[in-house]
Amino acid sequence: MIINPNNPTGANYSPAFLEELLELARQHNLIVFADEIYDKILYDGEQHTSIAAMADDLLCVTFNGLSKSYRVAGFRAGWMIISGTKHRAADFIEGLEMLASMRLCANVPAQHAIQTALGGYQSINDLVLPTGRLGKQRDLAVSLLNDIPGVSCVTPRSALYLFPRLDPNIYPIEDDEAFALDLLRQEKVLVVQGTAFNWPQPDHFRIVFLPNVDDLTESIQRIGSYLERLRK
Amino acid sequence: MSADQSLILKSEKLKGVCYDIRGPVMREANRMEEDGHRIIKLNIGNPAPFGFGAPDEILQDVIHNLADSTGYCHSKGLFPARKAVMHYCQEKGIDGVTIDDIILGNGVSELIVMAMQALVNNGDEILIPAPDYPLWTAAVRLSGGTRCTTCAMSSRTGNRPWMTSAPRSTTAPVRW
Repeated sequence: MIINPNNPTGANYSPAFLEELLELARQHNLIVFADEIYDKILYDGEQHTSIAAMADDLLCVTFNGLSKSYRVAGFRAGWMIISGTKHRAADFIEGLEMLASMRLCANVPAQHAIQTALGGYQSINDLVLPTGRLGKQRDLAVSLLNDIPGVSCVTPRSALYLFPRLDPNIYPIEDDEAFALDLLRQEKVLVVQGTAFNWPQPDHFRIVFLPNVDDLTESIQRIGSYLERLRK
Repeated sequence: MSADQSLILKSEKLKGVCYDIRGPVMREANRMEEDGHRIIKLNIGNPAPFGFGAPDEILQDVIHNLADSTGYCHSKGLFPARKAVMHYCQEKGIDGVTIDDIILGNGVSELIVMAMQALVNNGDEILIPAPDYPLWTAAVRLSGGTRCTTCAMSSRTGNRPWMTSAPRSTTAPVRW
């Protein structure tokens, strides 16, 4: 199972890396599940490769939808694509069809959004430019976070998130849920602790960089004030 | 005769299922909001509340078709929508995908749970890199499977390396 582009890290995997994963999948006869919901939210001219395009010799199930790229998360419009060695998977596909039938169908009004979205003008391409709202907010948030002592944040190449690390020598956090709760109560900023993403160490947190420049600046300043008190 | 006062418990199948993005910290945030505090919510990738509007053309199409959307449709979804996804597969270089290979759902979330329910037997293992979007791990566990930790992606870059301090299954491929 891979999430590419990745949530929460913002990585966009290279074809060479995907090939390594596929080699492993072939050795062990694995099914590949690929969550590609952020495949159009790419910065700095990044290109996305669907792993299913590199693996017609394996069963691949690719997931995508309109929520993020077309800003209609509330519509709940998504899809699942079965590709590759489908002939081996007739029984599994029958199971999928059974479950799809049991919920009768997906919400019909939202399905009407799909054809227009995929075929029409791709306004997301403007938002991710360095001058676009997402591009600007990403750059600002990364730079503000990296200015806080003991915080290091890699510039994400895709998606909507930052996953900064807190240096454990400076911030000896043992329970990062308690950290998130304390930050919330003191600074009224809601973040998600890294262990919520099954990250094994309590030394990361995730934020979205969706707020406008003013709110983003304000919220990262508040995170900075909280961390300053934590350092003392 | 008085009614039975024993506690009503959630299913044991939910044991180990965890989705902390909307967990205890968010519940506290909701409570604080009810008390009148203004919380800046940086926890969920929900574009609309931050002023990211949907393209007008999309809304117009939905509105235009609303009156004809009151009945159930094919369990896999409307034909034109699936056709559009099929063309998208062609753009992405995913070969051999027919209309029949596409299932539309109420967001990816529903389909992740559906796919895991359809595939996973009790005790099956799914390799999930860390960190992950936790719905995957939750769906695997709900289906009776085990999240097989893990190919760690570097927390810094999201890429590699192949090792982690996280617990790993003894039956996982060695290199993963």
